[in-house]
Amino acid sequence: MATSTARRRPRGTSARPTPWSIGLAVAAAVVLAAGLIWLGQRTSEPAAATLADGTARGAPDAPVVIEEWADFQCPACRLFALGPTRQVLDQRIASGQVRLVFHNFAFLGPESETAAAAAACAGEQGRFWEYHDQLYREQAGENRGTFNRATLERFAAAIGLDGQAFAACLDDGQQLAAVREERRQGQAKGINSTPTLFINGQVVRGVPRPDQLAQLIDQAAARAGTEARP
Amino acid sequence: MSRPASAAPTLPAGRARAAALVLLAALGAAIAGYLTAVHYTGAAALCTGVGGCEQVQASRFAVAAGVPVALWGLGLYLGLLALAAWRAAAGPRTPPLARLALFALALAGALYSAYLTYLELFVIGAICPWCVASAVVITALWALATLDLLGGEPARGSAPTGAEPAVGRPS
Repeated sequence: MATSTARRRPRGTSARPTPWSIGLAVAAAVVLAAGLIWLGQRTSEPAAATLADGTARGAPDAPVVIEEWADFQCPACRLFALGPTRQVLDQRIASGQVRLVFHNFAFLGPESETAAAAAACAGEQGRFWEYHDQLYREQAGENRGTFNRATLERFAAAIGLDGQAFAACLDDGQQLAAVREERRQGQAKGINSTPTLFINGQVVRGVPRPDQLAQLIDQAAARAGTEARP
Repeated sequence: MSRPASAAPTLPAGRARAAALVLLAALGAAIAGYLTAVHYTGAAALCTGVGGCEQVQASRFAVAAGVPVALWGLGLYLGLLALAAWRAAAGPRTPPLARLALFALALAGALYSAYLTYLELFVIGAICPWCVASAVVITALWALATLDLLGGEPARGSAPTGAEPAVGRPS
């Protein structure tokens, strides 16, 4: 019986792997996992810094301009900024098709205003979009101390801003006044919820699905192309 | 030269392990498939009241090299499913290379999953129950694949395959 089993067994198929081969398998697994982690870290660097221009990013002559009115305490705005639509926007901005312009509509309470002012102060150091991403990443509830003075300064330190200049900017109150003025401008445009988008003037309320956003951009680009032709 | 009576060519435990590997890989593929669909449709993931899904999904770590992490996971689980199905079908005749590949792929998945869990806990600050479920599945898969590799069918006197280094053993 045992002899016949040994005879039928194909050469090597039931051999226990050698320590060498197990070691190689472990090394391959570690390399594979490390490679994925490296890829993830490389691509998770905020793309916001590219083509950034104040509170806008994208080519100045892009055929499609998306004006985004948002509040840093609004969860839907967070989803729009960091969720699946981000990938669509990043791709379209990188290709030169879209220019995204951010406007504050800080209407959810005092921490919306302070967060918006802090982002503007980061913008004074040319880092608006990094701070924008940082605020959304840290978002947790409304007016519960998430965006108080200490945390806003901590976020500034986390992205490497000049702490003294940042604090001085917060202290002088000009950005806070500008944030309130921008909210009044938004109200004058009929905005009452966030995010509200204007895609070449076409109003979109709420967060579109990524495929819807891509379609809206394509339609706007097509219209812009038609209008541009003589 | 006699052999012990317990040297049966197929152990019931081996079959059970192979079946469990298939089931776990299928379960993992289902979870990763669901999360991939959620990513592409923009739908909210069913979070069963625990929360954190959107936060994790919206994080900058949800995409690696332009590919959603969920899709990487789906590819991993489908690869594991194919290997596990091969293992189950071939039984004791499964080539050691296939069991090694199963072990290596599961280990890579478990390591990457541990990294993702670290990100959830200490960087993103939110836990996605689906990701935790996937982490449990891949860890169980790796543990089973390790058992299968080390405690699989007994190898007595069989010649190594060409793909494996032949380690000299006293005979």
